[in-house]
Amino acid sequence: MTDDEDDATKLAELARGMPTIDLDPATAARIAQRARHGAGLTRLIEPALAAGFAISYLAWAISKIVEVLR
Amino acid sequence: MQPRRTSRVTLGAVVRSPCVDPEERAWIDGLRAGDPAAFDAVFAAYRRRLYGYLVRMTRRRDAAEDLLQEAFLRLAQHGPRLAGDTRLASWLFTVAHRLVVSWARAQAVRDQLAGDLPRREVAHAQRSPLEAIADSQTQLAIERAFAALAPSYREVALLVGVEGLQPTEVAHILGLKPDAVRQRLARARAQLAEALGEHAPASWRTP
Repeated sequence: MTDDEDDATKLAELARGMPTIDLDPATAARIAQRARHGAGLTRLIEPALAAGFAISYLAWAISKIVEVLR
Repeated sequence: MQPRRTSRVTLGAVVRSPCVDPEERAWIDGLRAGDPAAFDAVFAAYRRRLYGYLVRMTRRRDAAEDLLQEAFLRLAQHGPRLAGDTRLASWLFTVAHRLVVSWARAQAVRDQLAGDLPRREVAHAQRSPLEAIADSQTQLAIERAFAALAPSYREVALLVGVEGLQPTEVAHILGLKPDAVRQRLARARAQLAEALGEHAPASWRTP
């Protein structure tokens, strides 16, 4: 057995003593449903707001620069 | 007609294998066809494994739930473009690893901006969700030993030890050379042995 096989075997042995962790059925069902239906409009709202804010700020900054240069 | 693009380009060659399990092959065919039953079957088969990995990496149930949802959302989005010989475990853990990396970066920035040292100290003083479900001193010691590992060592130890993935497969998932994975594995095992002390399995204590 190579060293890394030995490490993997020993870690697997240790892992058998670890508690199993799972979602409660209601949370699992909710996550599955949301994931299954893909990216909804709500996922686009935050990036759209951020992009809108950034563009407005940039436009304001450019207008100020133009104002100074006039 | 142009051949349909597959997602193997973005996730690397490791996610493909000529010896995919027939059941998994059927799921992949279903995902490629957009069959919701195939998605549900994959979710049922992998959600516990991914969730366990995510909780142990983030040490937070809420973050793990968000990242789990994101991982399966990506599966739903990429399903129709999966290659027929995709290995789902590798594909999903690659996505989960990338999500954990992004989450950790965002978390570090948030902590830095908030300057919330007191809040972090409180968070570390609390029991982790895994410590809370440990029902023996040994389980508690193992969870604490894993939690004390540096994230890069913990991740390798979890993927190889808990998930049973091959070190070469883990190397591809993490974007590392196989030697780097072996080195991290050896160091993780040494640190776990030291942290566990009397709680280490009997075979760990014999030379």
